[in-house]
This record gives sequence, structure tokens and C-alpha cells, in this order.
Amino acid sequence: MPDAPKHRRTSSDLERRRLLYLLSEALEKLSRLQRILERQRSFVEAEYRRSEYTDVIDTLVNALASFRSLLIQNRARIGLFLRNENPTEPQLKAVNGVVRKVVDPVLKIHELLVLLPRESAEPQVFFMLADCFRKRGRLPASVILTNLLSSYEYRVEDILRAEMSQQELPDLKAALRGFKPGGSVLGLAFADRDNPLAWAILAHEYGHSIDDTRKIAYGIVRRVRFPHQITDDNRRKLVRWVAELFCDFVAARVLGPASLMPILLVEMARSTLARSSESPTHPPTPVRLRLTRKYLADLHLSTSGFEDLFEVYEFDYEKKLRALGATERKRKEDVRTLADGLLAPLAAKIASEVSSLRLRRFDGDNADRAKTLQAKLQAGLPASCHRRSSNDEILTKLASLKDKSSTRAVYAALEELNELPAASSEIIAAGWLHKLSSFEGRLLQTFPGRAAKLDLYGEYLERVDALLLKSLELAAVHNEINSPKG
Amino acid sequence: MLLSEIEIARRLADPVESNRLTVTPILDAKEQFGPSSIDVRLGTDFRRLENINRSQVALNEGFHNEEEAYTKRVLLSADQRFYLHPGEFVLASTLEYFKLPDNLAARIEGRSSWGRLGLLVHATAGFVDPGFAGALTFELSNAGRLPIELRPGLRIGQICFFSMSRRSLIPYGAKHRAKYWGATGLQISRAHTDPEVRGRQRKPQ
Repeated sequence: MPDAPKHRRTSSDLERRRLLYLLSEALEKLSRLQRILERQRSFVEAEYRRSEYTDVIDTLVNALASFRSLLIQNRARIGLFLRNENPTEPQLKAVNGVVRKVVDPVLKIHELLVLLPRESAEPQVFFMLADCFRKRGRLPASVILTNLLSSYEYRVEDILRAEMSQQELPDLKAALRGFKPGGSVLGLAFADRDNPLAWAILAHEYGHSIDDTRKIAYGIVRRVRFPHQITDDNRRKLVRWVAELFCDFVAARVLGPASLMPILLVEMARSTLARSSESPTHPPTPVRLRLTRKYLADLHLSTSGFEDLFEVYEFDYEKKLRALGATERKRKEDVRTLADGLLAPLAAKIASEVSSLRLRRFDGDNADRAKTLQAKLQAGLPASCHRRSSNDEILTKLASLKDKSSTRAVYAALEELNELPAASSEIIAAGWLHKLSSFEGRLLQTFPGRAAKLDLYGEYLERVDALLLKSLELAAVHNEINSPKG
Repeated sequence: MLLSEIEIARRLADPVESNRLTVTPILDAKEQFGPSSIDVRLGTDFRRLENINRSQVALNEGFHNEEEAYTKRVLLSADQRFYLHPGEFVLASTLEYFKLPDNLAARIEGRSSWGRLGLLVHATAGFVDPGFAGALTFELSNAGRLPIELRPGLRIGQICFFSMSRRSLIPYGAKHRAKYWGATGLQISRAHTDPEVRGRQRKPQ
């Protein structure tokens, strides 16, 4: 079973943690959007040298500045909250109000970035996916940056066909004959271009690409014997739900517990449950979380270091559920019960399908190495590799060398310094462990009493991003050189 | 004092953090270590000059944006190639990340095998201060007459280390204006942050 929290926490303790995560999300989104807009402005000003082209950017920058001001105006309140282990109910309410006033509109501003020139995804995205899914050379999927805050996957040919039927152009349908499938496109939020931690969600989306090709979810549902008649609509819904859980398991298998982090934070950032965690295509997130945690436990993978966010997410969901009207709440609860009842009996079958894919499994050794790599990130170093020998072993070998030692002996000692590349999954897991263990300290530095140094939080994020991007790049080159072809 | 290969190795495994040298990753020590240096590799990050609509490198208030636009970023995957044409100048970075203690300085140089092909790895700035942390920027140019095919991971340079007679009291990270500290990839010029450049910006030409 997953590592259980040591003791049951009070709701005010959980509310405090929830607000810490939300405050960090608010600062993160502000900082990331600001970085994107600054980059866009540099580009536009240098290319066109005419101020009117920057108008739309300036409008968005000014909007972000107003939300920064809101946080700065409330610095004393936030600082007090951060330093108080047992905040009062009014304190929690006040901070919640401020954070929500920032998060909600900032998420909307993110959607407006679609109006600006579109940047391309960083190549490290492909290094990571290729490494996780053992694909040497070209990955059969593209990654684009998009305005939706949650990621998604689609197949080009499906979109083409859908467009054509809408436009009622039968001639083009004929032209489609012999059309070769173009593969999957994975959508990633603009804000997460430089944020490898959020890329964990792409492992889930890539699972859709596998499912689309092999029709795994469809095959599982087709073999289910239902005790009573099931409508075609419900069968289709179940196929989609099974596909989502299949993708969650794929992501968990290749990345471990880190695979769950981005989706939980995206959901927590939303102000209500409406349209967020239950739709015909997705089973409710608490059901996905419960079954994926059980899957991780079955793989004997510890979720230590991630438990806090799991627990806070569940608290957040229940809080949002309670805020709904009675009818809507009942509907959500019924869907959750239904999804759990349908998916839990299929979880073993889904897990077995995932096992049969022979993906590069994230195991206990990977989890241990991720902890070692986390220490490197904390020391401000890239986390791309590890040595087999300890410093003591290396020094002992070096000390044994004499002036007349053979060249072979010298090389043998030097080779103890060789490093082995880390798996991308270890780098991502290390990054999450580092973030989850360090963000609260950074929040305290950002709001030191009466001041607010919002740029400090931005610098912290930028540093973590840069180290993770460098780590993925180093590991990819390291692997390429170590490969027989390299 | 110039460090020998064994002294470099000892520094890489030094138990005292304030004396420890970091060069990571070391992929193949047998290939990389020389008598008094370690070979360094080419990273994936390049910036090529785009000069078709630039008349000059002007030290004006738009310098940083100009530099961003003047240098086009190219990020290669591990198996891609980059062709450096005769007379061309590009910025690139070491694959390795370095962290020097406060009592070691370093100097990056080209390797003779590549020099013989016309590849120069820095224009003028090969010195590395004690206390520096980050990837180093290569200022690559091709002095030969044929394009040179480059790819990430090639050992195109070497770095040697000098032990100082005493620790620096203003190591790079603590320096008043440490412009390139902690860089994980290549850095474009930040000349515009130099006070004499900023001073000049204020005066109309």
C-alpha cells in the first residue's frame, strides 16, 4: 500500500497546505507568463522596431502587473499566514480570497496567449518522451504549445475527417483515400514550455497515442460481461474512461508517482469542480488517483515525498464538492460511485495490458536514484548522471598510485570517475521531490515579513527549470554517446 | 600551479565541499583525461548570427533585444549535425557543467586535432574565474576553407586548472557583477550591463 501519512491531519492544517500550493501556483503562473511575454516583446521589438506591434503584449503585461500588485498589497497578510503554523479561520479566508483573485484571471490570461506568435516546444520534451518510451530516433508524436491549461492528445487524421464532415465536402473525403496516418499530436500548455515538471503529463497523453493505435481500451470493454443491458452511449463512455485509466497507468509505470503531480495541481488551481473533474471523456479525478495509487502500490513503488499533495488534493476536492448545490453534488457523487464501481474491477486487466507493452518501468532503484539526484538539484547542480563509486573509493584508488604506477593502473583509477546517465524519469521524479520539499521555504523568502520579493520566486523557478532542462539534455547526449551507434 | 591529471581527479572527489571541483558529466575518463587537462564536449545549444537586417552591433538601449534577434538559437538533438561554414562565428556551450572552488582558476582551449581543421573554440575569452559555476560558452569560428560538421558530444576543447596560492576573497559567484554565473547553456553577451556601456547609453550620440 502507499505510504500512509503518519497521523490524521486537521482540516485547518490541510487548508493551510492547500493555500500554500495555491499561492505557489499563483506565483508560478504569474512568473511563467511574464517570462513568455518578455521573450515575445524582445522578439517583436527587435524584429519590427515599431511600438504598435507590442500593444497586445503590453496589455497582457499590464494585466499581470496588476495581479502582482495585488499580492504585494497583501504581503503582510500573506507573510503572517506563511509564518503561522495554526492560522485562524479569518486568516485562511483572507489569503484564500487574495490567491483566488490572482489565480482565476491569470489562468484566463494564459488562454489569450493564443493571440501571440506561437513558440515551439523545447527539444528536451522529445528527449524525455523518447527515453521513457524507449524510442530511438523519431518519436511518433509531435508536441505543440497550446492555450489549454491541461494537456491533450489528438490524431491529425481524426481532426481532418471531422472538419471535412462538418464542411460537407464529399470530394475531399474521396481525396482522403490512401491518406497515411500522421501520428499523434500532444498539446502542452504555453506556460509549461520551459517547465519539465509539467511534462510528466505528456506521458499520459502519449498513452492515448498507444491506445489509439492498439485499441486497448476498446478491447478491454468489449470483453466485459455486463450483468444487464448497457446502452451504446454508456459503452462508449466506459471505453473513454478505461482509456484514461490506461493512460494514467502508462504514465505511472514510466514515471512513478511524479506522473500524477501536474494533473492534481491543475485541478486544484481551478476554483470549482464544475467542468473540471467529471465529463463524458474523463472519470472523476479522485477515482483515477485512488486506482493509480493502488497500481503504484502493486508495483511496490513508494510514494513517499508525494503523499502530502495526494492528501491535500483529496481535501481540496471534498471542499469543492461541499460548495456545490445539493443536486449538483449528488450528481457528482453518483458519477464518482459509478466510475469507481465500473473501473475498479477492470484495474487489474488494465494493469496487465500496460505490463504487456514492455515500457521502461520506473522501479524502486529509479526511485532511490531520484532521491540522490534530488540532492544534486538542491546543491544547484544538474541531475543528469551518477557515479558508481563513492568519493572515498575514488580517493583510495588515487592514493594507491605511485610515481612509477603503470599507465593502466592510472587509467583504472581515473575511470572510477566515469558517470552513468540518469533515466529521464529519475530526473523528473528528482525535480518533483526537490520542488515539493523546497517551495515552502522559497515562499517564506518571497514574503519576508513586511516586504514582497516576487521576483525571488520567479528566479527560483527559472533555476529549477534550467537545471532540469540541462539535465535532460546531458542525459540524452550521454545516452547517445554510450549507445553502440554513438 | 597547473594541476596534473591525478590532482584534477582528487579535486573531483574532494570530501571537503569548499575544495571540490565539479565537472559533470564525465562520460569516459580514459578518453577525456590528458596529462594536465580534461577534454570538454560540445553541447546542444547554438546561436548563429543573423546579420541580414543588422547594420552594426550598437551599444544602445536596445542592445539586449538586438542581441536576442541578432543571434538565432538552434538547439540540436543528440544525433543532429551542425555545419560551421568558413568564416562563420557562432556561440555554443560546453556539454559539461562546471563548479570551481574559490581556490582554482581554469582556462579553456581548443584541441589540436580540431585546430588543424580550422576550428577555434574561443575568440578571446578562455579564462575561467575561481568560484565560477555553469556551462562555458564556446565562441566557435571556422578559420579553414571547408565547412566543419559538428554534433553534440564531440570533444572539441580541453580545460586545465590552476591552483591559487590563496583563496579568492571575491570569487566569481560573489563578484559585484557576476553576469554569467550558474548558466546552464550558452549565454549571449551582457555587455550592456557594464557601467561604462550603460553610461554611454545615457549620452546622446
